[in-house]
Amino acid sequence: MTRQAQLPIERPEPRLLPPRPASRLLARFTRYDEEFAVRGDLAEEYAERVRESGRRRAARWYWRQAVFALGSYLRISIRSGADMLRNFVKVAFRNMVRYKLYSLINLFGLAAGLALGLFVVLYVRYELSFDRQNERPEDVYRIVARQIGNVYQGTDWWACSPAYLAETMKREYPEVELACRVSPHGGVFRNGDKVFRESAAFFVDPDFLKIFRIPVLSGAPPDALAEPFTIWVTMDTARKYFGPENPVGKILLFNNRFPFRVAGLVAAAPKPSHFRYDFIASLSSFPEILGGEEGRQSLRRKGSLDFTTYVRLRRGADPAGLEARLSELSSRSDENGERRNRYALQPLLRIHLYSKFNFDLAEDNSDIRTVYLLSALGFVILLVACFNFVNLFTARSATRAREIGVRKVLGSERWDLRLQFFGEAFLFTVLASFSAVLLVRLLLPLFNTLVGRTIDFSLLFRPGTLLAGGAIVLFVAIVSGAYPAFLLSSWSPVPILKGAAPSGGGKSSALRNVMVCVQFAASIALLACTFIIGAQMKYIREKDLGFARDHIVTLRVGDEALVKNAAAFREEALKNPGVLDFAGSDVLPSYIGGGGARNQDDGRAIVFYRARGDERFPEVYGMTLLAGRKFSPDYPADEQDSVLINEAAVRALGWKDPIGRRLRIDGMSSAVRIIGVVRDFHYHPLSLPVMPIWIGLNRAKNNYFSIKISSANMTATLKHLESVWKKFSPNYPFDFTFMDERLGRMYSAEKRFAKMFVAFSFLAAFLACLGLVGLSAFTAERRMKEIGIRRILGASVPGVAAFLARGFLKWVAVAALAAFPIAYFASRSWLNRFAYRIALGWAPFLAALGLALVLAFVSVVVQSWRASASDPVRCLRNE
Amino acid sequence: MKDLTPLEQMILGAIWSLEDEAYGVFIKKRVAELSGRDLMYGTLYNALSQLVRKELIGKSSGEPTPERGGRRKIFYHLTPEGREAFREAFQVQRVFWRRLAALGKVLER
Repeated sequence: MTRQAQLPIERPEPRLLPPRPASRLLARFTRYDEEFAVRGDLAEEYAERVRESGRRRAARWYWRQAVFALGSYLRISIRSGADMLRNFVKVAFRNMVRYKLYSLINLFGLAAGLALGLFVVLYVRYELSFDRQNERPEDVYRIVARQIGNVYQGTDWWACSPAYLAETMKREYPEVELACRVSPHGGVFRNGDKVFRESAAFFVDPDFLKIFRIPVLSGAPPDALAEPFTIWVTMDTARKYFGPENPVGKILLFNNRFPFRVAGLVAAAPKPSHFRYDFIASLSSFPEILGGEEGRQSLRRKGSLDFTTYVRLRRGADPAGLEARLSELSSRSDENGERRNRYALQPLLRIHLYSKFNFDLAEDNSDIRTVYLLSALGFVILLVACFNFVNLFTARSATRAREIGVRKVLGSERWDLRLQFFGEAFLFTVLASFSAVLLVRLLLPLFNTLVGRTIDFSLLFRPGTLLAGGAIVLFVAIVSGAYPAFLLSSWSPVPILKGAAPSGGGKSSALRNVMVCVQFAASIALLACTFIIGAQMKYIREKDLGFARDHIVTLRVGDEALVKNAAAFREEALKNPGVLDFAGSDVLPSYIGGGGARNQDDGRAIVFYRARGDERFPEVYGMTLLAGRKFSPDYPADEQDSVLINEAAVRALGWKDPIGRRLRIDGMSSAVRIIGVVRDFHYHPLSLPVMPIWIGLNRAKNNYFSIKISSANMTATLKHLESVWKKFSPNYPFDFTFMDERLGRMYSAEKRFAKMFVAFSFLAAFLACLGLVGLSAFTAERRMKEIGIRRILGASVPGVAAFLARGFLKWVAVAALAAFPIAYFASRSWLNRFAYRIALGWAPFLAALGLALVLAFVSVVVQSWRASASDPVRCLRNE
Repeated sequence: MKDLTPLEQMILGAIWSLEDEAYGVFIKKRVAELSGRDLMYGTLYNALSQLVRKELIGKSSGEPTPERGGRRKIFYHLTPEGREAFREAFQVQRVFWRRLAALGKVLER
């Protein structure tokens, strides 16, 4: 057009000029206009038509032609767009092959980031999908209870409720459609010589199967659950006890006393559910199991929370209204202090992520905070990976400046070029996402153990996940394509073709540095958090808990006969020199229940935990006596009313000299006498402060045995213990657990979290380094000539390498400044979850910075070294 | 050999007959003269771009003229392949009609 304007041409009479808006419209599509001389042709015929049939008709004709022409232009451009695309793809592949290192780094970094993104999507989806396969999940609720004042493990909310609630609710509230009680009762099951201790036997009301839509695979229908002593087993359980035989109609002996008739096969709990069971047994058999009259009584008690209760409401029922009426229910009676109870409805879909209740049926409930945190981490790492891509892409742009110049001169419009870069980013992302899916496939088992879940690969191909995955891919493509697309396409072609450096170079290298900075800030913050988490985990592992936990074998005794025979068992066990000590107790230090007590002076209620054991119980666990005395056979009255208390109890009571004073304990007729004070020991996880506890003497009814063994010859000692066990309790399996194992289980969630965090932060650091490797290799290459000159003028190889590295290391140091506060506040809020925690010092931060510097230094120097070690003459010659 | 659409045949015919004068306005007029069809310019360009892509025609630009508002003409010419394609299409049609006639069928108006 400019060329044409310079030509001296006579202008036609104005009357013959086509309508301006239409011609302007056409003029906007420059390439079309130029390719076909559209406006020329139209103007020529227009002038003719004005002469023949007047301006108005001609103008109408022109408009029609113009609009139609634009329509057909669209078709042409789509067709030629396909041509262009083919060319782009070709060029993109050529570039990929030519710059193998960059491409590999790019592809691998992006794939790793994307794989992590996919993992996070999978995980989040899995966590959110808990209990959703229920037919009407939004209508199902669990009754939770708050026993005001009855604090246990930091909360007075309980996931269980009294026995009568289910039936009463169903009877009295029309909106309750189904209601059931569940009690996960552990015990020993036996079929012939196949004996196992089981923890997942659910004793349930018939509605259970209906509420959770659990299909009976064969045998009697769910209604048969009303009958006492019927049991359904899952496939796996059936195989375990009956092998290939059909189990229906067979007998399973529970706790060696109660014969249960196998009524049928039941499907396993749909995955993922908040509960898992191996047996479904009729709850109507419960009174018998609990011991006749006593059992029946306990089922009627309104104050004690013995069952998990689920209800399903009718469609459209109002849960808030029902909840309000529930509290009326508890205020009606004051039996066993039920008036203290407040009931609430917890939606089924919130159980997995929003539960913080005592005695939850669910063992591995998660926390919505973990889900958020993981998503945020995934996002950050994805961003780091994106930055890598952008960085390398723009860094490489200079080598492509000529291509861009040529394309521009040959008539590519700005948008064509943008499209090309977006397309290239997209191509890369698609390639990377295929590799990412492959990585996910390979690493899913590893990830599953890391997060403690059983996520199935097929979850990736559900519409929702695909959509989310597609969104991530698109997001990455757009974010990483946008910057090069807009920067590179804006370059003016002439200087580039003349060999000058691209005009945007300075600005873009600043941006690159900022991105390196952000990457390293993320890595340093994550590394610092990792070190802090690691230190806290080590602290948990190694902290002196105030009691011994090593080499103590614990046994749960199910056999009543053995409980009575404990003394004989003890004698027999101690015959082996490997057995050092023996104690019986009704609880273990890893699992101590609560109870109330009152200050004798002012009647103030104090939350007390309680344990009972024989004389050796404090000894086996190495409790330190601070005042008074321990239990002794010399004082026969000890068994009636003597207790030991801990320091926390003394503090709570506010007594200067508690020895010999009396303490009133809820549920006991007479006050107990304090005979000694022991040092505080951590019978709860370290997230909770040590609470007051009293330890009573109990020689007869001890359901747990704790046996201290010597660290030498452990296998032989355990063999010996097993043979003693078999002698005394032949019908029960010898299932022992070491005390430290039990304690370790308290922290399984924290351990998983820590491992996950380590994995994530090292991935982030790795990606950041990967980016740096590519970038520094590139810089070195671009500064080849400078390096050559420096070398010729006498610079040494290490000198030049250090000089090149300095530029990057400066940015890493800047990144640390941004990272430290973030890491500090994040890790402090995590540490605050623990009542006992490490002090937050400088060490983890400096370690993170040091590690980041070392990693950055290595990745930069290796590349710089290679560049500076190459022959300077060769560098300078190539022109 | 790719098949030509009737429109493409007409346009090839127009260009061929116009010899050195084949640019947008004249091609459109020649097609109208030959077939009675008044094409839209958009349709014409569409077909032309298609023919260029198939390398049946080539193009060159001429000088700007005042009646075109000072804009150039784009001239089209048949390439050897275009000539061949056009000849073949013509041949096919001639043979086709002749054989129809030999069968005793004559299309009446």
